[in-house]
Amino acid sequence: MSTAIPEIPEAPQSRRRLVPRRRRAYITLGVSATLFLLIVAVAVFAPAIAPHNPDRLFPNGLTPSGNPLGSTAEFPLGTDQFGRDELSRLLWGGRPALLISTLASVFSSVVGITLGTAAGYFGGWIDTVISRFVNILMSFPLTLFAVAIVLIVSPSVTNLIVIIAAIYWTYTARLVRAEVLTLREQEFISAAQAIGCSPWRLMVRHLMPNVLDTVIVRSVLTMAQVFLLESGLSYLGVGVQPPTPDWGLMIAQSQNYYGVDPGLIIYPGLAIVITVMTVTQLGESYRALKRRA
Amino acid sequence: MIRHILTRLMWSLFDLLVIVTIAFALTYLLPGDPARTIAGPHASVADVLRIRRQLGLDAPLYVQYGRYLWNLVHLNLGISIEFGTPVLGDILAKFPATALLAISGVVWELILGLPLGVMSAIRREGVLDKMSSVASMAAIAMPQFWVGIILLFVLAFKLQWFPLGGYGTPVFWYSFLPGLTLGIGGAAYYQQLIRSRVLDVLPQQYVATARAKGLSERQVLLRHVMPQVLTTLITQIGMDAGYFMAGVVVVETVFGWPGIGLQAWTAIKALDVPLVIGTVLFGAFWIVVANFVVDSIYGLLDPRIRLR
Repeated sequence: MSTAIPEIPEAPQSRRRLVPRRRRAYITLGVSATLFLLIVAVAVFAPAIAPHNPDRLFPNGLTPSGNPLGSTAEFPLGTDQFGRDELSRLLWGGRPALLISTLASVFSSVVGITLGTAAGYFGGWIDTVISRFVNILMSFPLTLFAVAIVLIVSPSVTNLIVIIAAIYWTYTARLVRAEVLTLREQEFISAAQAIGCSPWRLMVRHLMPNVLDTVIVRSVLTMAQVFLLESGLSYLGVGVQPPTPDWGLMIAQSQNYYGVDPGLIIYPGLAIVITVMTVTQLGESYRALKRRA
Repeated sequence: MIRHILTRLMWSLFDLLVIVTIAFALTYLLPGDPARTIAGPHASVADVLRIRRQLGLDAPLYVQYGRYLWNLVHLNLGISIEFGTPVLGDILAKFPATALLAISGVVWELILGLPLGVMSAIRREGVLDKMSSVASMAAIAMPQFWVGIILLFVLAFKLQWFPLGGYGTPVFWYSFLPGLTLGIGGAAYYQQLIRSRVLDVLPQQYVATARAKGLSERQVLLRHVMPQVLTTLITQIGMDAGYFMAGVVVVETVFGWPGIGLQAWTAIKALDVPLVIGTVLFGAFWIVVANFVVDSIYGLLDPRIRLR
């Protein structure tokens, strides 16, 4: 939407204000990157560091009345309602969501950058078709749509990745298209065209590198959103299936036991919140650093 | 202007057609035989064939597609496998509860998001700004179902201020926690959106003019800054339709709120495909309508765009 109002240049900010802001972004980036690596390491090495087998139903893991145990020497965070070790399940529980959100975000970014660049660069009917399709996919109520497809193709990790990527590439594509539309008018593109660059080479070598930062930020934020979506789907029973340890599923299964042991709800929930916040801050601080001053 | 709206309308209808086609393809791709499902496991082959003919499942694909469209135009979304009732009737019966929940979600978004966003922009880097930034960061990272369960645990189970889910009178009491759960993520988003919009508008020259002619800071804010911000806000609320249609499934499930989301979730468990797809279509329809309305009134709200 172009407006007739000329853009008003922002008042120049003093260096004194700019420097701490950049430094703060560096600190956030460092902290969130470290935390993220830690979360990934825990998920990857869960089999080695978990004190127990997460799926084992311990006979001594329930009180005589059949309720989950509180914290004991053997089970530091207690057990769940099936007598399984809560700590081990927590350590394992990030694995499905991390795998699904990472792969879905990578796939959706690859598709998004390709189709978004093509739509923005070629324009015309190619743009119309791609943009229309993006609009239409965005018109589906996301969770419900994912649920309906999962219902049809049966929930497996592969299916979840494909379905989620098939929905989320639209956000990347829309952003990339908008950026390419402005890049296309710049002189280096005309120069590349003038020396006889093929459209493919032009897109891959000249346009895509310039939208890469946007795509990186977008894909990290997509990862955070997919993480939430996955836990929601698992909560609804159409994501990861029991007995696989998964944070969203753990909350769903222990929901009726929060009166007995609120920790069964609180620990996996906090694990999700911390992971999603870490990933979001990773993306946001990267964006803050790359923003042209 | 009218031309612009008509073009939009045409595209919206086209979008709906493609959405319906995708829904048809999903139903058709389905593994399993609906006729067999209805007839039950002990029915004879002849019975299954008869039901298949009754349902029109023996016709070629394009005929089935044509019938599907024809039925949709006549507001027939099919028959629920579980209840044997028309899907659209089932959805419309549950829709008022969902609409109420959505409205209460929007109210929460505005109550929390609007004042916090404006105030953190005015006192930038102040205590309130920093606190609400952290709070909205956390709120956006929380899964909706978890927020709902925690609210239920603390406010309904421990403190017993609110009912433990369900629907009853006074409705306000029952919709308090579900509405808050639905709105809290959006409120966080609005806080960030409104904060950055106000920060965009404040340095503009017309704001300086308003100040220079001696208006109070309060008047500058209410009469000159807010109209700009509200334009963004109204379009955003329109686009939130999609967010709410998606959110209601989870929130209604957590609270046992008897709306279309809970119904769809029950239908999923019962493998009641017509009802699930019907709800998806219903949701998609509202999103297309909301987008169309937003696109159309955008020009009315912002005269600068109308000039184009």
